[in-house]
Amino acid sequence: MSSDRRDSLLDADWSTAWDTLPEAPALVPRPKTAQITLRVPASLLARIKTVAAARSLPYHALARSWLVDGLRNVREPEPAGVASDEPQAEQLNIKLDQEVLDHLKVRANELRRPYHRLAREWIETALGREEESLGIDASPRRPPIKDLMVLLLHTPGKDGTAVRGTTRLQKLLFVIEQKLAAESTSFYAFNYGPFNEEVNDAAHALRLAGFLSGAEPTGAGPPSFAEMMATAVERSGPRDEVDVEEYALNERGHAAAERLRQSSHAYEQLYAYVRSLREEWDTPDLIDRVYETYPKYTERSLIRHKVTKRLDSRRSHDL
Amino acid sequence: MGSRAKGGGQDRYRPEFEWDEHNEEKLLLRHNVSALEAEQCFANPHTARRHGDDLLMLGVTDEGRMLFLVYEQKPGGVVRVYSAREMTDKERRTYRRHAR
Repeated sequence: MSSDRRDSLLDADWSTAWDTLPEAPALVPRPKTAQITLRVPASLLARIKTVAAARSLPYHALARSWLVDGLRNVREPEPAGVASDEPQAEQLNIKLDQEVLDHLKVRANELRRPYHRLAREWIETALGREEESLGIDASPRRPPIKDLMVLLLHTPGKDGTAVRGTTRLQKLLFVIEQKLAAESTSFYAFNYGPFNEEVNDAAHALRLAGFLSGAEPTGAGPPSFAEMMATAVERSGPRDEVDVEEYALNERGHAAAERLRQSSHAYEQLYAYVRSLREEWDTPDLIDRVYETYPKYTERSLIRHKVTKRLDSRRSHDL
Repeated sequence: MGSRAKGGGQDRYRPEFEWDEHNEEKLLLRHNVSALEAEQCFANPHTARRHGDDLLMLGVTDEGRMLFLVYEQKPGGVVRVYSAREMTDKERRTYRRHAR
């Protein structure tokens, strides 16, 4: 039965029907021990295992001790940083006494937060301290391009949530990645400025998954010269002269994006950050601004001279 | 179900619960009900009914919030709570008649 179907049961008043319904089955007493299953990013699990190896301890036991410490020290965990975020693709199973789990739920109830999240953030906070004391480098890793794309296409732009053109999509994701983790960027200078084939791969994967509206564009790969020019002159020319691919989530895609956004506190922060970057950068002069701000990534561009000329003209006009 | 003191929470009356962050957060965001509060309804006097494949409960938290819950009892007795909201006035009267 779907979640929506169950939610619809909340709409009714059950007082009249209550006497006509059969009794629910009796409850079964719980066992003495419990387990909490945390969804964690793969990199976080790897970091826990690294510290556990350095301490010569089983990583489950180490994670449990951090959780118990978090409960003893009555303080909130530090929220996970945006730059360190990635999908929670791994599971961390921690066996606990029922009393410890009860205590965790009481604390989470006081903070009005999911206890799974509280536990994960306590563990992550303790992990950071341990890494620091052991001198282990845990540089933040960038979120996957696919996640960034889903969140980007879920944010409102000036003309809806869609992004018009491969070039614009590439440039927006480039800017977002630069702001998040410039040191580990996957973009490089190409024919039309910063480019990353992962963007096209991610769009293809999202389309295959049924998250994007419209059909697959012909000739997936770097944008065509015509499309690049269409995007580059968009600020001054009519929008419909050249057929430019539009990237937009369909209803299913938006639902998936919403689930991703709500999957963790860190992803909520990431969504808010992507949204603010889109508001700042998704403007008609996006290309000019990218060329001006990130000249290193435009060294191989076929239209660099045109953009440079336009930028020079604007500067002299401003003077 | 045997009677029990409000907020007693003795293990023999408490089932095992299955939660994940998604359904915990859904309950919190949509209905301001925490996992602990939902669980307290099972430990405190309550009345529960079957409606098709779903189980419904009228229960009360340790703080006295009167909640209507939709849940499932999996093989082995593990309980998964799917939805919750405050009781209506009529449901409160039904609760007072049936809870034990």
